[in-house]
Amino acid sequence: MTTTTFETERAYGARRTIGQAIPYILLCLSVLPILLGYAWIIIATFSYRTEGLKPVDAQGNFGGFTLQNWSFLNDPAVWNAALNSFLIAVSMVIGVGFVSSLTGYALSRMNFRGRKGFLGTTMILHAFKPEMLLIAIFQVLLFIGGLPLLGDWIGFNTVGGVALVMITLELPLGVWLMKGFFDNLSWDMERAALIDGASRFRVWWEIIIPQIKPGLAALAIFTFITGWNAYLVPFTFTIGAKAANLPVLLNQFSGDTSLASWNAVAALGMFQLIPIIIFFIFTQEMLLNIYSGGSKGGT
Amino acid sequence: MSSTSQTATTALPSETSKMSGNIIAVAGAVAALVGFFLPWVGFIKNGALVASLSGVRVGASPVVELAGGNVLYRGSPAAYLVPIVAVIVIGLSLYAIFMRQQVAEGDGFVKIGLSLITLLVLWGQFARAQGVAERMGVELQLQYGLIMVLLALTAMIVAGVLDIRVAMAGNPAFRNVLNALSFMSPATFMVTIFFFIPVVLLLALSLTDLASSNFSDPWTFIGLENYRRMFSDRFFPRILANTIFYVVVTLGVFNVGMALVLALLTNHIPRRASFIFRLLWLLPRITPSVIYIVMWQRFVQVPPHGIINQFLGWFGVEHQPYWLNETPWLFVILVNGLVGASFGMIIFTSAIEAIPKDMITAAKVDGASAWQIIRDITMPMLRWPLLFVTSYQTLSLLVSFEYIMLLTNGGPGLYTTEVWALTSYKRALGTYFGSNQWGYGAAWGFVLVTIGAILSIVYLRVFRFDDLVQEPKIDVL
Repeated sequence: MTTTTFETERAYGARRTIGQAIPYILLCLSVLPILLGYAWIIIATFSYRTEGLKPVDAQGNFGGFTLQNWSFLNDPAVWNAALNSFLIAVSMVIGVGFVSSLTGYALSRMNFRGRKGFLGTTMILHAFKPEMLLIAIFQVLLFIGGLPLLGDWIGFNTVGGVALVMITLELPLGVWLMKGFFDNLSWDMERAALIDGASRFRVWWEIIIPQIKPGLAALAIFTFITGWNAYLVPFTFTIGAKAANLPVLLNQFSGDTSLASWNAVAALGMFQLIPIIIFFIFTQEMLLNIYSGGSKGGT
Repeated sequence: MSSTSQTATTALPSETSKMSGNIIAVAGAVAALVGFFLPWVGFIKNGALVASLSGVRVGASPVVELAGGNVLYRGSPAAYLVPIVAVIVIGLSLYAIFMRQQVAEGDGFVKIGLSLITLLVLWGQFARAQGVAERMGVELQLQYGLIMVLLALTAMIVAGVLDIRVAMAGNPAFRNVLNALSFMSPATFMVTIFFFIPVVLLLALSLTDLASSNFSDPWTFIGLENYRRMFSDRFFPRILANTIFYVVVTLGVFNVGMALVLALLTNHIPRRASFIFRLLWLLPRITPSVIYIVMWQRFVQVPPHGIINQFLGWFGVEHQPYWLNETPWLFVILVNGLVGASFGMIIFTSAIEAIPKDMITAAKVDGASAWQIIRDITMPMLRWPLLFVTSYQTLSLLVSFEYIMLLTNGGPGLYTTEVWALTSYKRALGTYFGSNQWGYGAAWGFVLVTIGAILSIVYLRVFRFDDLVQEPKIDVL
């Protein structure tokens, strides 16, 4: 019989602890940049200046905590941009929710010629990335902007135009999600209502919509965050401050501000992050579900 | 008309409304015809017709001048559209009246659709048409013409509605289709305006030399000149190489590689802890891009602002540069990769959780090490998720440029980190060079759109999404 060396209990324990610690260490490293980034935003918001992550006062000593970075709250331009951001986000919540639940219902529940084609198109558009179409959408918006009446509301350089483009770009995802929610719904009540002679629209509004409120809520959170964060589309389709939203304003502000006084930039960023952080804290479970199961990937 | 006289004795309500629909269509057609050519009378008076017929190019082409080019802005592509649409509307309504025995399901839609398109084009061009008409001295004719056209179009829409009602009354299946269409129409309308029309428009733009310098002129088609210019651009090889490098490295290291490692790691720690990490991983994704980039800008700055350099200072490293200029690619890839990795990680994690626990328990009982379990059980089970994430993220990386634009805008220096999508955007919509070259930018963009469209269709086939599609639950009661 060969001699086998057994490691001592203590050595085994140590090896186990290290083995268990390795995943945590690696995972912590992977989230380090974003945590540091947030740490800087929070520290910088409330301090006179920062050196690295260290808050300093005018003399370069540790300290210098202040609220003066929030003086932008007196600036009407910021509130205008915040209002625009909010309008874009809310119209996205309403627009995407309404249109996708209409379309998703038809795709899930109705049999009509061309249904396969519509579904295929939805899926292709879902995988397709529309960023490159912005060049052509620019021309479309210019055209709409030249129309009497309509142009003032949904043309180029209007909040309505930006919102409309963003709603449409989000539709393939929304329709796909809503169709999934409808597919998982029992259809007994709906069938009873139809047999009793209710119209399709009434069934949709009075019986189906109340049943998918959780799904609609998830979609609403997702689209609100998308709309609130939107940078590329508002940046492309607005000029000046009239229809600019917070991210566009922030980007311009950070470009105009010298590096030393980026604390005001951080404060403006913090201001913009408030709704995001609220959603992050209170709807974690839902957020994870949206970004994993249904969405199959925003970007 | 013979069928009408035959059934006249047993005139059904639907039959009469079909008739009235068609009478209105005739009226509409005639009115559109008159309305369209009324301004032309004034045009002859001004001698412009003679000029155009004798080959002197007054506008874009004599044909356009003849067919109402003076109503519309001369030479604009829309000017070609209106006469064509008008001819189709007129022809179609004539066809519907004299050739059809019955109202077909599509009749109403064709009438309404064409009327709306004509209306939209007219609406868009009205201000310009007014200017032209003033110069030509045909304002009055333009007004008459416009009223006629509007009346005609209204009549056509009414006719279309009547057609649809007739078709609906006799055909329950058609009513179902109509029901579905009314549910589908908002999305269809919006997607047409902001997806399909832009795709066609992008192709058209890429064949013109439209730029801010000649914006008010009509579009000039220059064939494939933009594409030739693109491929012979001095920086083309560099941009192509950048794009491939960016996509391959970001995909390999982060979006797939790191995502896989993290998914395997989170699988080896308790659920509660892994939930927290997955949540933290969402942060880059839901942080507004501008703020995310502001954070990274602070990381890379020179002392005393930079966070990386602060850390280096603690360890006594003397070399403290502006890191974005030192290693631009590292940060471009990190910034994108940390956002992209969470997508793969979430997909892989759920795929790993779906692996039957029995298999892993059995392997553990047989004495397999953690590494062996990963290699022989987990990885083979992840084949499809891996393929899915790889293909999906390839496309998404190929056309995404928002973070690069915010971080380096293609710099430092000339085209160091410039990728294809960014070039397209900057050429078309960036004002850095002092001019927007929509045509040239569109050529760059259209190549990516083509690749994107082909890839998305291929994914659809490869991943058999059609098989996942459920049949509708309620079709016929």
